[in-house]
Amino acid sequence: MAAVLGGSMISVPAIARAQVAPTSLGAPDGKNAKEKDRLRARSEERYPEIRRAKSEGKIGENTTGYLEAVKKAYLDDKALKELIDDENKDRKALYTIIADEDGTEVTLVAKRAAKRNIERAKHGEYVKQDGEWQKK
Amino acid sequence: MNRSRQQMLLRAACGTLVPLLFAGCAHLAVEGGDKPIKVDMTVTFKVDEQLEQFYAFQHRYDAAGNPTTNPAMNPGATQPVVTPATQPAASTD
Repeated sequence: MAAVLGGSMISVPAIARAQVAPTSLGAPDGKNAKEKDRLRARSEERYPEIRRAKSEGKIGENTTGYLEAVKKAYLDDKALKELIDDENKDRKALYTIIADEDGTEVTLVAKRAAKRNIERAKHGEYVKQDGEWQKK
Repeated sequence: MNRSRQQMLLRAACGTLVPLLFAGCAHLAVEGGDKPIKVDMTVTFKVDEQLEQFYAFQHRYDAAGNPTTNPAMNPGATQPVVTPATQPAASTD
């Protein structure tokens, strides 16, 4: 009996650790999932506008994972500025959620996103590399 | 008498502190025994996967034949054929 009790007393912390580990690594909870859905819906709605602005050479992807105007003068267009600001704000929120879920830094997530976005950029679109805009 | 007492105290202090010092060092060494490279690679993989899942709509949008690039910039891209039903017939007058 004592041995059984002793065994269970020892095994309880191990089970507790095993159950806690996934959450500490940031398993997606309901709140995060809902927030992601909200961000995805907004990003999807903006996507055609972003594609258009990219194809017109007004905006491009930078190496920090965010959108940027190719020329400062383009920011005089308030709709374009709003598009960039809204998208970047939501991207930051997304990177923060993913970083939280995976137990890593927001900058790492942003860098991985930058790599993905630059790789996916279409022919003729601008990407910022080594601090300078280049046509892909 | 005083001297021998001092020596005894010193020995006792050393006897207590030295093992503690070594124990502290040993503990630090054990804590730093993770595998950062493996963890980083796993995290990077997970991040990439989550980004792909999130942005899956981009693939769907592009695959649906939506105009994604400026034709002037991408002459090789196929253009969607516009055939409006109300398009006026070309006049031959």
